[in-house]
Amino acid sequence: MDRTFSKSMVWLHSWAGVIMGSVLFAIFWMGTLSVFDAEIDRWMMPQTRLPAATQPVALDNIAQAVLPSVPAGASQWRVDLATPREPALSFSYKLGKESHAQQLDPASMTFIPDQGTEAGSGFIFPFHYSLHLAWFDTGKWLVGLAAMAMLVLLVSGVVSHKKIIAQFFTFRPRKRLQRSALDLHNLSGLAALPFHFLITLSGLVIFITIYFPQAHEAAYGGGGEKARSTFMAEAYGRYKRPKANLPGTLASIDAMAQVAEREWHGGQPYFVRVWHPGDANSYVELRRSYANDITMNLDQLFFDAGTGALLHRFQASPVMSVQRFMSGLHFIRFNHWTLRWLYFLGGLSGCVLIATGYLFWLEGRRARHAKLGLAGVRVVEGLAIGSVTGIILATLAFFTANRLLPLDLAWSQTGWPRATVEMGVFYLVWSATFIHGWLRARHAWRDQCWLIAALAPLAVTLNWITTGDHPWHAMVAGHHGVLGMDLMLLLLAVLAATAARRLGNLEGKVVHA
Amino acid sequence: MLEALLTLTAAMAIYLALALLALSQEDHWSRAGMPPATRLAHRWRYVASIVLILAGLLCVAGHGVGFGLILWVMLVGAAIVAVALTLSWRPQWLGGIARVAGRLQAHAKS
Repeated sequence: MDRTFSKSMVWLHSWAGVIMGSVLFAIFWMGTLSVFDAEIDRWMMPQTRLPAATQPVALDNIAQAVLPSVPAGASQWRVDLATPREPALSFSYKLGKESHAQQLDPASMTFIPDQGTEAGSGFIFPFHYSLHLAWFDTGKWLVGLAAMAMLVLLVSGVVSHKKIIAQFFTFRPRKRLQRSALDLHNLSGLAALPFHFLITLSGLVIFITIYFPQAHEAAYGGGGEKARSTFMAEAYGRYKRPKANLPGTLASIDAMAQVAEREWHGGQPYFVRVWHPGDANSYVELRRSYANDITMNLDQLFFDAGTGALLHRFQASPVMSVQRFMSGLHFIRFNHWTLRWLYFLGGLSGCVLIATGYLFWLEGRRARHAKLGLAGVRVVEGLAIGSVTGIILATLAFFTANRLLPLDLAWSQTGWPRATVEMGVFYLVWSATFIHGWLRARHAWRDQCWLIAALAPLAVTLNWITTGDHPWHAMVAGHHGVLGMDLMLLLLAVLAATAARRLGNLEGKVVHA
Repeated sequence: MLEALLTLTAAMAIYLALALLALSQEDHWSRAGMPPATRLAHRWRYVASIVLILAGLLCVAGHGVGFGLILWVMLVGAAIVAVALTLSWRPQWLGGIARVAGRLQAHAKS
């Protein structure tokens, strides 16, 4: 490490960036897509492209529709109500340790066939925070480590930037690649600095119970599971009562919702959960919606299922409200289209930041490493290619597979559910892009850009062929999520083709020089 | 509708303010096709700051304090990139703003 402060910051920035850049890009890319997870769900689950409900559906009607599907012995069932972004009702129940979920059309109250995909909310969103590595929460810890690295990178990046004011608005695309990559790195980093800082910090705050596993033990003493469950009950709210093992009834949930509306001063529930269904001690839980607020409130009410009497109310403490505000800033579960698009752009700026950081590192060392016979550039270049263009390509393969695999599934004979095959395609393509990156080195950037430019319109075309929803039809039919997704895919294709052409020109120059 | 109008006005004001901040730097001033001798005085940076604050108030008026402030931060970020991209690909588009500011400055001096 160099001795001067500024130089040691540059050292820290380069190496933290090279080592964590790969994970960070995956997190930023998947996070950016998660901003539109519900829209991706609509695109990937064509039978859920329903018209938005014009008036609220009676909760008792919903209960009537789902109750025949709740098996005897289920410990709970739950229905998440429709929203403008999620037009279908989500029904689920728990039997033993297993969870079962299905979607319902609120207009006809009929079940929608399983769409055979994890789509945006089941694959892309959990990828963002867990990398789908469930073993001992490895993925979440890696994401936490990457987030801490991101905070270090932001601070060290600002400290080691020598001309912040003089080059604040500077981007010189016609200079050599190393220079223009650094310009773009500085521009995307500085323009969205408050966003990057807040989104990273709030991401860490969301997982307090994972990243500070001992905090509740210190506060509640006793240690172990008991301290944890006391903490969870006080922080997040919980009400429990045992089964009576006698038959019971279910009173009107709509009447309970009216009580809730009074208790919450006009607030509406966003989900209904019935615990111990059919038991004399059964109770109903209503959770308050946060569609119009940044803070994701934890307001919950519990009613006796048989009588409809209010049993318990919960509201978050002030400290938890701060946590819920930070969470709300991150999750953007609120309805605000302008902010949703700006978050999308903010996320993309993070992707650009990481990608250009890699490019700058590589371009700065390419000639020297070649001269000295070092393998560093080659290794990092393959890693960068797989992490940047590779994950984009894998995501497109995931979308394409979704439109190619038949729903009725001859695959089930192989024992693989359709959703697993889709995710398998993602991982297969992603792995291949790393190998391609290491084999083709510098040329792989251009190759993969061309593949992106080809695959994105293919996904749009396949959506048209398999669902009839071409962009114009999607617009007329009011399938705005599908329209937005198609347009973004086409834009991605144009950008990738432009990048590929410019990369081709650059390579041409190098060869002729 | 009013909300959308306020957002649009705020977005345009933020772009204008950041364009002025960029133009107050000599390099960008000449990139916009302006002669160096007429460059903008430092006080234009105050003007730009005031416009930025006013735009923030518009955001808050249209969306409330919480949403309004986040919206403002995000719009400023987007506008920084927009101004930088204008300067790199179509700098002459900022010529209009530069000429108006330059004329106002000349007028104030005389």
